[in-house]
Amino acid sequence: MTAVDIAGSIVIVDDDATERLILSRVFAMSHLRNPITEFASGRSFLESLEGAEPSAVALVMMDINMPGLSGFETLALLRADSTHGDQLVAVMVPTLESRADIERANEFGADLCIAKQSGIAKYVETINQNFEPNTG
Amino acid sequence: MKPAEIPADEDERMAALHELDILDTDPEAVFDRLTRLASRIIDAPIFLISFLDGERNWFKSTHGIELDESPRDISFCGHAIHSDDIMIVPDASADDRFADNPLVTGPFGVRFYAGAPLILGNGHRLGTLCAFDTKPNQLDPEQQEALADLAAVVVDELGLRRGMQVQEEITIDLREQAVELEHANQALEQYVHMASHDLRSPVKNLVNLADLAVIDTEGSLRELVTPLRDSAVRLEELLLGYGRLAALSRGPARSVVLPDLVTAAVAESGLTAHVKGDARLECDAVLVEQALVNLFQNVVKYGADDDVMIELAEDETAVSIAVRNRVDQNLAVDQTVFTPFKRLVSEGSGSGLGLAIVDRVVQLHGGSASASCVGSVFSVVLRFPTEDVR
Repeated sequence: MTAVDIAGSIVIVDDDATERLILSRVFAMSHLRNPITEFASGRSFLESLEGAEPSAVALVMMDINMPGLSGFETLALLRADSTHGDQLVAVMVPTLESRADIERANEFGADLCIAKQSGIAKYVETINQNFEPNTG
Repeated sequence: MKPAEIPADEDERMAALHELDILDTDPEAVFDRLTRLASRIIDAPIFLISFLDGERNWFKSTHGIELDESPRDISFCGHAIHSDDIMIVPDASADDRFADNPLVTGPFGVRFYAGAPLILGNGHRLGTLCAFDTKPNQLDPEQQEALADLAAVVVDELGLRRGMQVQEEITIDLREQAVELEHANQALEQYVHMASHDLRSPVKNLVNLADLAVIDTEGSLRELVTPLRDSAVRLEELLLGYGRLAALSRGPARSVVLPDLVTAAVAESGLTAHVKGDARLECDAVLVEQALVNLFQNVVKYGADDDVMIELAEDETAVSIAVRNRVDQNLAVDQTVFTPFKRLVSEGSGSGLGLAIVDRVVQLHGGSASASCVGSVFSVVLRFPTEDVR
């Protein structure tokens, strides 16, 4: 279980608008109550961090396969950032069966891997099992 | 002059000749060797291997003359193919059939002819191995026999040559088919890869969107949205299921003690079973155990009780695993139970892949699975051929 600050937003970075819509609804139905911000590319997300407070973002949900900067490249650039480098980042993988995805996610410094789910109830449960609101 | 008559079997004779694919082909050393050999036996300047084809007399090999063909009606060979015996014309100028023949009166000035017919196994005479001279001559019995023997060798060569051609054609056909199959297989693999990978994300989205729609929708629209969601879920099940089946592949084989493997699979599938018999099996043990677990779960599902009979046996050709269970009703069971997503009982639980996985795993080991239901006993038999047969 990973603790997510209740202040700051949950950022969804995914080029697929449908996936962003689904994930944002899933978060809305989860026990996390953070505001949600969406980005369609790694580049636009990184640009949004310029001048932002370190606490502006509570959690980044990152897709891997994106045109332009991939999820891993975005993650590498984020980790090199002196202000937001220690940001909590979860990488979204198609399934948890792919060991290669998980190994690469670890290499690039992801905090955890979340598999995309089929079925909203299951998806919400997966999010709830992986994250808890940090009220402390 | 008496022109060469057309034999009674002309149509079949021509068909047999054309079948050989010899006409209008280039000279071949094997036939040239035979005309040269004939010239060592018979003292004459010109030797031919001739085939009578329609209006012409076509030569596969010539010795002592450069000539492709000549008209059939004035040919000596056209006469020679009317008998199985050698035809000898000692002096054509004194022979009623040939005295005014242009080959005799003209620049060739033929006097002597000896032709041994080329007789196929089915009796058709295609042409001759023959000798010509411009002075009268005769053959002694030994020379006649030698000429007939050489003619028989020509026929043997024609057969061998045709056999090789057929074999070559078959080899080329097979090679082309193999290439086509390879291409088809690649296309199929690409399709399977596409279906099991690229389609997953959009289908997952479809399931989730439909799910969200069900949650958000009230009233009459919900009657539409719910089956939409169910269809999306089913679509994903099918997609993942076929992907799983296609991905099954056989790993390295090792020799396992079958009762141990069966007992482990029995334990994993949570049933009570009587295991009889003994055998060793050379197989991918992980894969076979997976198949057995699937099999046992299915047999229990259709059965009246959890008490399953498992018999292991080994004969000269195969190791077999027979699984039997009593059923309440007589089920209509045939080979289609091994089809993916085929359900014997209408409201079945499980993936619908169990027996399809069993069948695929046995196939991957070169074996076969069969199912039957006789006198309220449901049984499935898996046969794994042993190394010797494969």
